[in-house]
Amino acid sequence: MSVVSLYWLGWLAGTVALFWAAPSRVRHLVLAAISLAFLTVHAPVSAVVLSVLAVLCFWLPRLSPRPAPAIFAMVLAIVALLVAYKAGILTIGAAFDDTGAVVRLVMPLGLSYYAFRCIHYLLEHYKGALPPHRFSDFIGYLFFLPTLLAGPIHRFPDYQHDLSQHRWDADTFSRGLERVLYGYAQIVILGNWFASTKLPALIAGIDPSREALIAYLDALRFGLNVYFQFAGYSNVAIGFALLLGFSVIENFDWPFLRRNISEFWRSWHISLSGWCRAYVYMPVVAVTRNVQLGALATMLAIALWHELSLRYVLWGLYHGLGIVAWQLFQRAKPALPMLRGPVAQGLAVGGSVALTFNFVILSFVLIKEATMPDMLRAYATIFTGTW
Amino acid sequence: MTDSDALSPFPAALDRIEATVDPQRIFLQGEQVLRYGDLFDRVRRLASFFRARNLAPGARVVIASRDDRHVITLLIAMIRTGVTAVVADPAAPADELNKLIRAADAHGLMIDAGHPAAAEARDVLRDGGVFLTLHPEEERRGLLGRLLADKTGYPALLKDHAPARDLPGTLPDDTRAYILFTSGTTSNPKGVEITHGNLFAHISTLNRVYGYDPNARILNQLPLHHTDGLVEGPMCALLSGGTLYRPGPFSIQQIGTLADWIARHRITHLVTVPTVLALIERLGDADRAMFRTGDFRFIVSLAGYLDEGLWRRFEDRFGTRIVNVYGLTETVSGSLYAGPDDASHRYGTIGKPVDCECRIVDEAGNDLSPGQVGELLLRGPHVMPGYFRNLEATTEALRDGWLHTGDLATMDDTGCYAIVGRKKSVIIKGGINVYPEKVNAALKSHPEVVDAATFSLPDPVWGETVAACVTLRTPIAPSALIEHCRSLIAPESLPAEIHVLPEFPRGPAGKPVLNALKSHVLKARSQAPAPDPAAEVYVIAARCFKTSAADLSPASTPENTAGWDSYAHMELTNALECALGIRLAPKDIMSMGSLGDVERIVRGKLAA
Repeated sequence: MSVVSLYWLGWLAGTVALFWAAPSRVRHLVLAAISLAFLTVHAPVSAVVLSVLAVLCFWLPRLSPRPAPAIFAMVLAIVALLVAYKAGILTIGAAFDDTGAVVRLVMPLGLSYYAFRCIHYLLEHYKGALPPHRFSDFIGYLFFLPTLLAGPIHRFPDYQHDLSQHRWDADTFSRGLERVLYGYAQIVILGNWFASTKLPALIAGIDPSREALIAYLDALRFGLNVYFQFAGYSNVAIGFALLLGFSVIENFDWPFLRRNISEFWRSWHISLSGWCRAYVYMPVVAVTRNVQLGALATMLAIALWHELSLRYVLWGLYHGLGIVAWQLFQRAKPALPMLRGPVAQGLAVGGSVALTFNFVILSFVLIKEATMPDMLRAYATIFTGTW
Repeated sequence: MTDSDALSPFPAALDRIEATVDPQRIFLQGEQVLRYGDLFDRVRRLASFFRARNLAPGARVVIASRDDRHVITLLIAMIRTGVTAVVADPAAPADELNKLIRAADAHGLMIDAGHPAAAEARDVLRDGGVFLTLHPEEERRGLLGRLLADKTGYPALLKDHAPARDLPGTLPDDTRAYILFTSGTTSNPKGVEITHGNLFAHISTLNRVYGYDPNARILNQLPLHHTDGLVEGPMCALLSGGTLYRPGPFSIQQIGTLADWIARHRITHLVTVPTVLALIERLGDADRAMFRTGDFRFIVSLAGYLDEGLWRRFEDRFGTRIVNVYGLTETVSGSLYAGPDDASHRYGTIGKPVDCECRIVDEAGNDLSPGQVGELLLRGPHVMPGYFRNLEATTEALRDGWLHTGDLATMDDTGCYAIVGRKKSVIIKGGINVYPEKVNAALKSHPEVVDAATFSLPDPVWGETVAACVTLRTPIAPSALIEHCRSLIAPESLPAEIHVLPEFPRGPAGKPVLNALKSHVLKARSQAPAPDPAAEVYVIAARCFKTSAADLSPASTPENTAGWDSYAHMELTNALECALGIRLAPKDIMSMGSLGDVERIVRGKLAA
């Protein structure tokens, strides 16, 4: 089911109407009921998995005589479930191409997102950092239709904050409409038309002898399409949440204009990178006191969250090593001569942005190509071919 | 002062509001809701009850209740019928309440049924006095609840009294609207009498200065037995046709709830005391956006000295304006206003007088020039006619129509006034008046206490705090003295610290020299152990985040602090361990979500 469809817009509009028509005290539960109904219709396995997780995540730490082991056992079980589906050990079906070949195995809708929400909830419970709440609040958080399918991975304290201050606000509603429209424009115009149709046509018109330029532009096209599509989906989700009076964490913040790879990861898929910073980087660094190891572990986790494959492992290591290099540069920076004057500083900033941009664009080659030989061939073409 | 031939504006004003405001509109939103329609229905039924029980205009009735809805409804009913309300502290010990009833020579007492002093207080009433118990109001009762429910007290009695249709059309302007006792237990109690004319004139001023209108949503959770809770809450809301919000008494744990109310109910004005602002600013992990709701207009700070630093920091951090108000119970509530307009909103001042006149005079009563320090005098239609049956106190406070405030003030070139000290001995702790004489009397009632002297000390949160020195017959722990006082005086009057001295330094008249005692206490404090090194957290964090320590607070988080990235987080961890000689466990490092968390964790480690 595509978000770019009248069918989905119908769900969106109906949800908003029913939500605001309900008495204020039960609105979040009405939304949860709609979300459950949506999942039951479109992904019954997901409905069951999410319902079971909701009950276990809330009650297990509270009813267990030893909450800490129960929490960690539960976290491991969720990770195992996620890995099992991503590795294809468990599946609920398969997607096929035109020839009938299996393209990918299907996993429960939204599992990658709500599994991370559950782990976040459990670990914050362990830290004692959750605001006071009831089971119904937690249900409202997990069964939150706007972010159920494709994120952002919003946090429980933010949801609870909005819920406790919840009210009708025409400005918020108006902003929600704008964000939904903006999101659809990103997906349809910038992603589907420009990056997926217009840009390939332009690239196809380039002299085939300029193979390096073509390979580079293809990586650029791929990266832009990923960005426009995913940022568009995030904007639709954020707009949908605003229509319901909730502010959901932003997921992208002009990532291609960042001056270093650390900044890039603070502005690209912010909810996932923030999650990994809190629950992968921090624990690894807290135990090992090694920030380089923390960076590598974090980027590997982000990579494997997308897909359990060698190409994503390489992609994660590529970005992890990039962050390590940046950290080492930061240490060495005080010993380097200071750039003085606006021209020099401006050039330095421009150069930093260009370097970061190309570092990220080149990383897309790792996940764009179907096979390892194709990937190596693409890099060889970019670095040794004709521009 | 009021003209005795003039008529009270209240009957016509209240009738107009009753006739024009939608009965379904919410007047009071607390734990329960009171709508305008229900309010006026109850006011008319209470008027019938008052008439049936011979509570005529001029009768004085003491109200002692923790239920805001009851206090406010009874007060408005009394104002509408010309009865004088005497609002008492519902937490006052029996002895204090009884003295207040006697001092007011009350014709009636309306008190919570569960009040521990209710039965005793009934006996203190004058013969034939009306005694009425107030009961909690529950919207929905089960069968058992209905069977066991009170049938004689308030609000059950309302159904036996039809709404009065012939309320007084006119009342004299000098009808006493209420009496508030600012000192109830000394031999010379001072009950501030406020007339209908005083009250109406002042509310008109407040509603104009603050811009209150039917869209005003005022959050005021100050106690109703203080003028700042009573007048700047329900009375302002009522006469503007707006809504009053009272989310229960303030506590640090409740800052989040306060923020929720401000956002959810679209609060336009928060009326509070500087202590609450200090607690929000210093101790709470308060949301910087809590006042940036689009509806919120400004904070009204009253009943105490607003520290200039706090004022600036608070406005800067929360992006909202604070209007600093100066006034006394004797002037209904306010008199001078620093804001909301730019001309009077000057930090460190109490702004300019509105609808009243000010003078600054020396000991001889001569007017002083700008910049010179003298006593602040006030005159205006909102100034009380006097203290109830206390001619001596009245003539001392009101001379030639001018109220002598007892506060030392100065005026700058722009016409803004600033308070620089106080002639009177009263201590203002978090907006609440504490009378040293009352504390001294409580301390001296202990058999081992020879003499006691109570005074104020500066406090960053409360503005002032209560301290006492005692001389003893035989040694006794200060904690035992505090326990002794607990049953005699209100909790807010209890000394925060008691120092035992062999004897007091005394002046020529034999009185303890308070300044010498203060110096002694402050010196003893300065010799106390140094503050714990956890305060170093901010300096170390500033170094790690490459920012200024002044920009950091307990509410600083990675999200709102530039430079606090995951790399700096580990730098902070290592720096804290090196500087303070502690070892942070992985769980500690992961729990450092704000500098408040860091401070708490470090303090715990140091204590261990």
